[in-house]
Amino acid sequence: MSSRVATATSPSADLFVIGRAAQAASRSATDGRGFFGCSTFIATSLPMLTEATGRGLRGLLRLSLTAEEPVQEQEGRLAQLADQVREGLVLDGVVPTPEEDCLGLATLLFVARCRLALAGVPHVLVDLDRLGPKLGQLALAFGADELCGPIVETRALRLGDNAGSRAITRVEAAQLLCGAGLRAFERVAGGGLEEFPP
Amino acid sequence: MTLASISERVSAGIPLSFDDGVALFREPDLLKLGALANQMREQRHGDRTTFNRNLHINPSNLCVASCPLCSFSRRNPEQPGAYTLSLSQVWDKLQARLDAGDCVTEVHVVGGLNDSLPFDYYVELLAGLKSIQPTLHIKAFSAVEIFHFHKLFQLEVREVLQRLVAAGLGSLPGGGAEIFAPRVRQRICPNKCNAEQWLQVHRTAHQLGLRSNCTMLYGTIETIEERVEHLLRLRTLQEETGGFQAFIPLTFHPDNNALSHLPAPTAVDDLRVCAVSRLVLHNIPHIKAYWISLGIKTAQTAQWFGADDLDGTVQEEKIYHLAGSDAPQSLTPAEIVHLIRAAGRTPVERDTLYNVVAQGEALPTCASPAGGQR
Repeated sequence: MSSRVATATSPSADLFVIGRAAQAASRSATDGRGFFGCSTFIATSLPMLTEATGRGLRGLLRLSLTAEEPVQEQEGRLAQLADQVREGLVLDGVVPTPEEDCLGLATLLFVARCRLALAGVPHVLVDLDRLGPKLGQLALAFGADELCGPIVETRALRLGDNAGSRAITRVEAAQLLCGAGLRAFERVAGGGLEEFPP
Repeated sequence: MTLASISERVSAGIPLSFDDGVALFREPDLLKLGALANQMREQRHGDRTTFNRNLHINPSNLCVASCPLCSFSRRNPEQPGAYTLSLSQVWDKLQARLDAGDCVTEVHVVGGLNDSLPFDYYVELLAGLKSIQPTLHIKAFSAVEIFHFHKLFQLEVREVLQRLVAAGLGSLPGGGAEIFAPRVRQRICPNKCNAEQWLQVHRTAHQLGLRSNCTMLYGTIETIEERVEHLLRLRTLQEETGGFQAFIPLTFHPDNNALSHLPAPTAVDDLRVCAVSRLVLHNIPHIKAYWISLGIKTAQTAQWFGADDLDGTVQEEKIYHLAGSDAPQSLTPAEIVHLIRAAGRTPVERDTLYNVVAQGEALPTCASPAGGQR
């Protein structure tokens, strides 16, 4: 366990070096914009992705992360995916998705590795349902540029049965993006983008 | 005020100014800020992150203060959820842990401002805990509670503390500081003691030889300037007494309280406060990432943003969970060790006064992390 852990996070400078490189790559790719939209179809395999894009859906692919996977293997499968994109795979975004046993830093570093390894993929998305708004927003500092998941128009107060809900409002989504230093844009019907006023 | 010029002052060991603190809070690059805070953290503590084995006990949630920020308190005994533990119930909580084989080194006792319990209840509570486990360190009663005892029982703060020390009190927790600015205090906790009174309780405790912690509750209605002012007032008292051991940034949780209309602070806020605190509070040894408040994943990340302590095993926490915290109720020592190691840090078990209890191979290990982490 210790060697895997050490590989994932050491030396100390790596966290900030990788994070800032990924953030710079993301800012450059999106011109400092951050995006959000309501839940959308996310493929969990390449065949599913190909079928989805063939039907005109946006090409989004979920990339799972388990606590046991060594960093070298993460980087290996990301490099393989990058090759497939270069060879013509239609992929508009990836959704790094940690399993329950993944910790916060491992998740953030995986987001950063996705951004750095997949230069040909326009977007790295945060699934708020899986990461929650807190870790999700941090991921925006590590190369992610888009929020997806339970984003609602209005949400009841966090009382009673609704306490602990992970749903956030459109305004809150925009605030998370702006708080991470991005200009917020909402994905609207027909594939358009509208800037969300700060 | 640039981050580069602030960095030079940090490297030269020059205390940061009010303007520096404001500039740090406004620094847009979270990772630059984190790297600077991490530099100071590693200069002081290397790659060590400490934790302890503790038990939280909240003897009563009856509280005359009824603060809008609080989800824990109940004003009347008839209200649903209102409770007051008997002394036996309090002591049983510790005994149960010991019977289960847990090597608890600290009990953390805080509760509501109950105006129906006699002072002897608190004295006997401490004495009883101490008699169960004489080596136990009892960290009990926030400055707000001590001030409440002073007013309710017509005793000088010094005498309140002396009597509690005689019964077994070992140190004071840091709660109740909230935000010192009167404008904010009037809105979020109008019936608590004011900033001067909170600071005076800690000053008195330090003069009596007690150590204590200090806190700041952020994310309600305070401004950046009010946060910095709060930190500087803590730093000033620390210059005077040197009695603070750790600063604990407490993130506001908006569930089930009168401030539910406010959004919860974001994780960027959480890490920013942690980092700025490390940099501004140069004379307070430790910055604690209280995982109950931050959530496990943010707390783990905070070890790279200035924090060098993760608090403890806790076991049963009510105050933050009633406000919506989705962190687990407790972590085992092995789970905390895993959290620290998985962040590339070196875990060290400490006691309340930051003496080393165990490190290296003496620490427990587990193969998988705690469940339900967010």
